[in-house]
Formats: sequence, structure tokens, C-alpha cells
Amino acid sequence: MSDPMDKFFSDQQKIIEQLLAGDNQAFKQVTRAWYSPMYYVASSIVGEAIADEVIQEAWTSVMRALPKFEGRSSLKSWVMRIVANEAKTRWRKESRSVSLEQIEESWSTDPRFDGSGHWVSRQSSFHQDSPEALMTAEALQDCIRKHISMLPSNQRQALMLKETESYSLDEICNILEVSSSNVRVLIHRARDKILQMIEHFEKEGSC
Amino acid sequence: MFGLPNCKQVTEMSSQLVDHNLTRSQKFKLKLHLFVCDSCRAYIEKMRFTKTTLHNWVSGNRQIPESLAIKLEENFAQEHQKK
Ligand SMILES: [Zn+2]
Repeated sequence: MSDPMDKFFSDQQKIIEQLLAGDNQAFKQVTRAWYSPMYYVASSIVGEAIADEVIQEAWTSVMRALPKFEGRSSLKSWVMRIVANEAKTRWRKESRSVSLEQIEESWSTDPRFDGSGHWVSRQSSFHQDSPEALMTAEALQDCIRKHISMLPSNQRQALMLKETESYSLDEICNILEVSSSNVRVLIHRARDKILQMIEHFEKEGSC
Repeated sequence: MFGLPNCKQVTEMSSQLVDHNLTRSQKFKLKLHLFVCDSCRAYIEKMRFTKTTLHNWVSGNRQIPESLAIKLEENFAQEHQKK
């Protein structure tokens, strides 16, 4: 699973030098290439309405701190950490001290399994051979968007952070202030729901 | 039986399997189950597929709005002039 821009950014030191030198083209490229993961992280924490503002603040912080960047992680991970922190700070200001951790929905009865934990009906594979082929269906994209927005917010946050592949599990726990066992459960439940949504979409041809 | 996970437990471990977060012994037990269970094998395959789909979604689904791109570039130029 490689980012299309990974190759471009392999020479990280060069990018950093270009940014420090005020190279507008280099800046344009990084801000465009990393916008999507930054947006999903910011919007899952502070909401869609102010996600772009948070991204703007994050880039200002990035440019101010860049001369001190030590390169202990990749530049992208460092930028992703800054946007998550900006989002969290902003979220704290906006909301009245409600914890990011929410009450668990009940999960004990899953109709897909019988009393002894076996599948009630036989499971089969997806029809599409690749995630790339699957995503060519626009209706499915809309359906994924809808289902991601319908996830409980703690599941959405954990999922979005995880799928950027920019944070370790420990970092996700720190950002969301949840225990590591909880964060695993949140990620799994969110993915499981999207999996069932794709199953449904393949079977019915609609969302 | 013999401490092996049932199907429901296998599905619950599937995210950690695709994220390479299981211990050796958890992974071993899960693999034994998969060896004899077609349904769980299909589920794990779907979980891998879902993970990739979501990763692709998050990393590239959204394009920067032009207005934000312009603002960012203006800020960048300004920050640089200050120095
Ligand atoms: Zn099974």
C-alpha cells in the first residue's frame, strides 16, 4: 500500500530544505498531497466545519517549527502529529469538557453468530478483485462517506487516525485518551461496519 | 475447544491480524481455526480488503479546496518574508 507521492517524498531532506528556503512549489506539493489524511484526522476530531481552519493553523505551526525538526520520524508523521494536536487543542476550546471517550454501544448480540459463536450463514468473498476496482463505483463512494459519517464519533476518530497509517497505536491512545484495548475495539468495530456495508452494497447494488 | 477461538472471536481478532498486532500464540490459534473454517477465511479476506479500501479513502479521497490552497500559499509566502 504505497502512497502515490511516497516516491516523490523519498528525498525528505531535500523537501525540508526546499520548504525552509521558501520554495512555493514544494510547499504546494506537500499541502496538496497530505490534505486528504489531514482533513480526515481534523474533521473526525473537531468536525467538518472547522477542519480546514485547523489544517491552516497546523501548517503555520509546521513552518514555524520546521527549523527545529529533528527527523526522528518521517516529515509526514510529524506533520500528522501536529494536525492531530491542533485539532485536539481546538476541540478542547470549543467543547465543554466532554471526554472524547463515549459510552460504549452494546455489542453482545450480533445476529451473524449463533449462541456458540459460529457463523449462522456461510460467508463468501467479495466479488470485486481489488479495492481499486471497487472504488470506481461512485455510488459506493457516496455510501462509504455516508457510513463513515454515521459511525459513533469515537469509532470514527479511531478509524480515521488508524487508516492514515501515520500514528502508532500508542499515539492514537494518547490523542483520543482511550486505553489501548479500547482503541483496538473501536477500530475493529468501525471497520467491521464498513465491511458489512460493502457486503450489503455488493448484494443489493445500492447503499 | 483446546482454547481455540470460535468464529465470533476470530472476527474480533481480525483487525489486529491485518494490522500485525497479534501475539505469536494468538496468531497460531487463529491460523488453526482458519485452516478448518472457510467462512472465517472469507471474512479475513474481506477485512483486509476493507482496510485497504479505507486506507486509500483516507489518503486520497479528498482534494484540497482551492480557497484553502491559496490561503496556505499566502501564509507561506508571508512567513518567509518575515525572516
Ligand atoms: Zn470460523
